[in-house]
Amino acid sequence: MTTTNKVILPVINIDNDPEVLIFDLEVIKYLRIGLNVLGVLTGTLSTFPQQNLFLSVPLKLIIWEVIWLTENNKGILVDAKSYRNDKLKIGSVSKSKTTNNMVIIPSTDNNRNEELITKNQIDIKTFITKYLQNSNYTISKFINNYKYYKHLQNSGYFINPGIKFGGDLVIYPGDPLRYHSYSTIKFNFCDIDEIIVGGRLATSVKKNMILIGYEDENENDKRIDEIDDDVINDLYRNDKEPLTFSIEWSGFG
Amino acid sequence: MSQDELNDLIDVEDEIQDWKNLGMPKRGTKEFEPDGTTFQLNSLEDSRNAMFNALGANRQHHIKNTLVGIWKDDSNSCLVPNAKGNYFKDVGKYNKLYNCIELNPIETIYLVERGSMVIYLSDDEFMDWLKDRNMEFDYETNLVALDLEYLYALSNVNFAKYQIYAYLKRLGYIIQEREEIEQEQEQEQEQSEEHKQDKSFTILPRVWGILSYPVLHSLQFKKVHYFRYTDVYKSIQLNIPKIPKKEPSSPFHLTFNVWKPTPNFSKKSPPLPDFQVSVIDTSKNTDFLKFSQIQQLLFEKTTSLQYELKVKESIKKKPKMESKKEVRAKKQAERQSKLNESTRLRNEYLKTRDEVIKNGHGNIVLAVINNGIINFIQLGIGNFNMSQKTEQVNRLEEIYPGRHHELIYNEPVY
Repeated sequence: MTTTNKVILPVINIDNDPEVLIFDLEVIKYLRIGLNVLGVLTGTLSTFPQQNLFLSVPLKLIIWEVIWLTENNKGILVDAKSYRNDKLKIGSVSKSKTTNNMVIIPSTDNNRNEELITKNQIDIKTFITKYLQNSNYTISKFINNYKYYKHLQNSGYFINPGIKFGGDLVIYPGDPLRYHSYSTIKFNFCDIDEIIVGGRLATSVKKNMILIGYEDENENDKRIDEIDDDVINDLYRNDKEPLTFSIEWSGFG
Repeated sequence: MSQDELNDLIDVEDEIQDWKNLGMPKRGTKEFEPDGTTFQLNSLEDSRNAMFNALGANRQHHIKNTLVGIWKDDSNSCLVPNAKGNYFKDVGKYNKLYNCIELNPIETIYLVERGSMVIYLSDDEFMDWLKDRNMEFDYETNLVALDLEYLYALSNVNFAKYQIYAYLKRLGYIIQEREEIEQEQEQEQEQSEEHKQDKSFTILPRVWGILSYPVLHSLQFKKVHYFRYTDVYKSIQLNIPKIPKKEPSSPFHLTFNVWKPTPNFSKKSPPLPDFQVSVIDTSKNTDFLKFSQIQQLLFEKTTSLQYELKVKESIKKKPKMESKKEVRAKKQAERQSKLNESTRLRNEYLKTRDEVIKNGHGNIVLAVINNGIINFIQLGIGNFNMSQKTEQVNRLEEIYPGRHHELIYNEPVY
């Protein structure tokens, strides 16, 4: 399969704590406008460097976004360090430039080298194995959580991490630049008290809470040592839709 | 609840900002859901363009202020041969061998990302030049310039740690990574005070964990006459043992020392940090804050005692800008000064006591990061019985000597 129609998903720190960070503005535009994938901006905005409300590149992709892009052949995971080192060896470098007495530091270099992309590609099995090396996820929990994300993503929602509003995800009916969110998502069914807590909290931030889960949750308590093809197959399989319930705190009068 | 009250519940940082308001965040201008109108579509396009334009703005600085860093891949650090500018008050460390400032990956990325430093990749020629530096060295023609992505890729930076560092730096705090400081000042362990525990038969079961509350109080078999409520309360106080500190056994540490902005901060002899921060990433592991981990953090925490021995009292100058909090405190002080002395003292006493009860002592800050989203938690040890004689507790004793400050109800003595 060719790599040309896929965006590069640069992986930094592949051995310790792998992160997918996007520095290329064109890729950020494509993900947002073309695929509803938001990511989280984390870098200092150099024009307003002393605030945390408006941030800039890199755009960090959360794990579910990375798997979704890979599953749908939209992106290709590339070891950023070895890819860039290889490019340097063949003389492809980005020069810092000076214009109008300003020294400019570019975010990335834009010359794709398909041969080196293929050479430094990281397959999804390796990536997930490395990602989960210090985690307390069980295999089934990891797979299910991804499927919940996938269900919502494929339904056309814009999705952000949900911890700010007391859930696992928060979903937006359109691009959050213009639209408010009205739902927080909680993975898996939980006990009645958690539902009450979640409902109260969601209502106080003007949202409802959506529980999402599978009817028959067979908890596979195995810890993850190595991700094999079976896990990836499970991850990518499109089986039945998860169940969802919408919960709102209600009072009398 | 009114709309304003509801809005107050949500931190402005928690909302996704419309980039049309860049520089001056607004709220409440967004819409409920897409309705397919051209008006909405245009408005969305404007917002997106504003965002992409801001992201595409050049990361730059004026040529007069050019600051050059050289990335040394073998040591995973950055050398700054000519360190100038305001950044090096807390950033970087002097490297004797190369006679220049050396930055760790976190500091390097921070400076490059905000457009304050250009960065090149070192080579043998540069390292040779660095030894004698007897002529000019043209970085641009001799070395390879790194873009931000390449720097991130080379640096193997711990991303969660970097995010917290950058967040606090952007707010103006002074930050140093812990380990580096610890290497320089050999750690002085606090003598672990063997707590005098009441080993009477009523307490032992509790220590063994059988009966949380004593069935029989030790006063059960004594005859005591009380004439004041204060004495009753005093006699039924629980004797809470101190939380034993534990030496770190797992890679779980305090990460940063953080100071509020002060103009004459010294890297060499920093004062006692205002905050001691531990960075925790819970994206894939939520096994956090077990009791033993809290003990470890307490063990690592630098106490004021340790500092008094090490650091000469540095004269703190007031920061120029007054924060809202300080303005409020000033007004409060003004109002208080109009009251008579005894009322003023009583107010101060009550306020201080409330603070001791509310905040405890030995606070550490946990920076919990989940899928890139930053949260801060403050963790302190309760000091309800005021057995820890902190500065505040001593102040209480100064105001009303001999009182039982830990008892809310104190009878007037007739």
